[in-house]
Amino acid sequence: MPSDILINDVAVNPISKNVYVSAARGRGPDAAPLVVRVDASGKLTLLTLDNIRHETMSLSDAPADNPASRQNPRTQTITDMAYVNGNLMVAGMSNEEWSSALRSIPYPFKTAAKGTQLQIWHASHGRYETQAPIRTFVPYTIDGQQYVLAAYTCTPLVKIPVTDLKAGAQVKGVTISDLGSGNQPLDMVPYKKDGHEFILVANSSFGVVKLHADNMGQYKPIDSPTVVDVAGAPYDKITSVTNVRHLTQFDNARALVLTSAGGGGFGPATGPFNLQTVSLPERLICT
Amino acid sequence: MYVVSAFRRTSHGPAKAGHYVLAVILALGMTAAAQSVSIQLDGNTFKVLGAPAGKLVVYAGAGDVPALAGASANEGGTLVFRPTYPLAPGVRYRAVFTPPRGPAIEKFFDGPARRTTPSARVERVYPSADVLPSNQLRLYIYFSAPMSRGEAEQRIHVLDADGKILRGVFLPGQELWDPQNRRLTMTFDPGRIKRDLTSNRALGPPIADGKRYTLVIDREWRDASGVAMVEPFRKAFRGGPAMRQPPDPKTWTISVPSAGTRSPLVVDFGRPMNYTLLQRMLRVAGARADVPGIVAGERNESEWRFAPLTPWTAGAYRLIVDNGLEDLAGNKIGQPFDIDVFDKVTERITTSTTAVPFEIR
Repeated sequence: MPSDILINDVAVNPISKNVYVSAARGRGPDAAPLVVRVDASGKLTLLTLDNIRHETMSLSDAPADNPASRQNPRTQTITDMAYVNGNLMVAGMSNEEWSSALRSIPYPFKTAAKGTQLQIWHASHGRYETQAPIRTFVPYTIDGQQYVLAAYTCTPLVKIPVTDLKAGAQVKGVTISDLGSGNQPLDMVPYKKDGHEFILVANSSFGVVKLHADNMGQYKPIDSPTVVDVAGAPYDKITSVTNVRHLTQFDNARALVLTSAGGGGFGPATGPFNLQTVSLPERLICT
Repeated sequence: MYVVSAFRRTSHGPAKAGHYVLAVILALGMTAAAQSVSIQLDGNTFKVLGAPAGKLVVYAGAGDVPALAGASANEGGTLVFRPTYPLAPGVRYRAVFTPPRGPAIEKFFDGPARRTTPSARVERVYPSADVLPSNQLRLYIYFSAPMSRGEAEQRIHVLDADGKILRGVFLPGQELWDPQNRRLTMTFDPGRIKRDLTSNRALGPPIADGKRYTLVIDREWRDASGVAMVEPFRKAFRGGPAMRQPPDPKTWTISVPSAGTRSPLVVDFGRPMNYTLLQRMLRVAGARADVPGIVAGERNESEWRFAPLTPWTAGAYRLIVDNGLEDLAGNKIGQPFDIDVFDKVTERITTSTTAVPFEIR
């Protein structure tokens, strides 16, 4: 039954264009995890991980177990990861303490280096901001400089220069948009079309929007926690794509969306899942 | 070979020569090998009895579906197929055996029976107090049994005093479970809590000071087996003033027990704290090592009790507090929730602590 299937994420092999779907059958603690490869004809193949070449890195900064509890109830959920400039960046979220952690791990993994765990502060809402955890992020280049574009749990989209993400540096993020309350960005796809830059964002309750990102390089970093930043990239709602649960880049002209007839966002799917490519929208909607 | 496996199928004791003879006679009585072939389901394993060679493929459900993932092997003369994943309740499986010669045979099997009797219930909810600050950050729900993930948004409701369901109270889509799916952490929408954010300006905080609410958890929430709970859960609470000041160990009251007793050390925070962090962010250090003991959060988590496993001995001790300890509103030691300062990025998130000395006499 579709409601027994939980799809965690989708990814596209940029060369073969095969789609990899991370899923689980069942919704309890013993749910069976699996990765399925979907080729262009729609054929599903179970990816067996038994003898697959792989490297492992243990994220071992979890706090010590409470000796009184039989099993540590604390978990660190990985909310997103991406390969950026030779590093695997991993965003995580704890089910206990409220913290912001973006970890940067050099790749290939070295056993000696556990990576740098970073705390990023963005003060783009006046003097009030917190260590909100990152929900999803993508690598993004602005004027030749590498950034990550991060969506926080309180919805603002923040750009963070990657060069600043090193030990000892003071990292300042810049809010570029706030997509409204009661909403969570699910996935983002930055792209260029007809000489303009856009970011396609799938949201939990706000549908799919296209951010106009031409001027993102001009947004100034926040230099003081007391400065109110009101920057907001203009965006259009894309009404032609609905019920989106996952979104990722397919190629330069297309995105891949995973939809469910039962609705987008996070809840249990009540209808079948559908994987399809959609053209990255052009600049044809007035802003 | 056929004979031996037929024999083993019916015998629970060690093989004996006399039985082999009997089995051979039975086998000779069969007109063809195909007549003795059968497909059986033993636990999670499909077996072809009476035919060591051939191909066994299993399909889940009807229609044109891919074969079940799994591995086939000849184990002691029996062809077996072990599915990669456990068989699912409510699914009908079709096993098809194709011998080297002759027609294929197929047999249908039902997956394991689906449990239908409800057993799960909400055991407790933290914070346990009936007044929550208007900037309450997290809600912990403890279930008596493992639950299904992905349902929280439609099963947890906060009602206002008129019984109307309030929207946008929790962070959408964020279900943070413990490894057993028995404790769920929900986050009140921080965009509504943090002053001056768009959501806060538009909607105000999720909980308003002085208003009355009811937390409702629907019975229809399915446990990990897909069965609804025994009963719904309701908890009435009232909104209280926001908690803006970070907790300060200097203001805590420590009640020190006497040497020679196992009476608990009692720390009164003067305000309720995050229940889960109380379990692991405070410890008692003696002269040489940490004191082993049992921890409890009492009086609506405004009190931490530490009972040593062995009687206290006289001497100097320290209460070691992880500065990540949070109150109900996510204020940490020395760090209010919604006022940040630019801070240096550190190579690791360092765990700083505060020590509060006390003496046992």
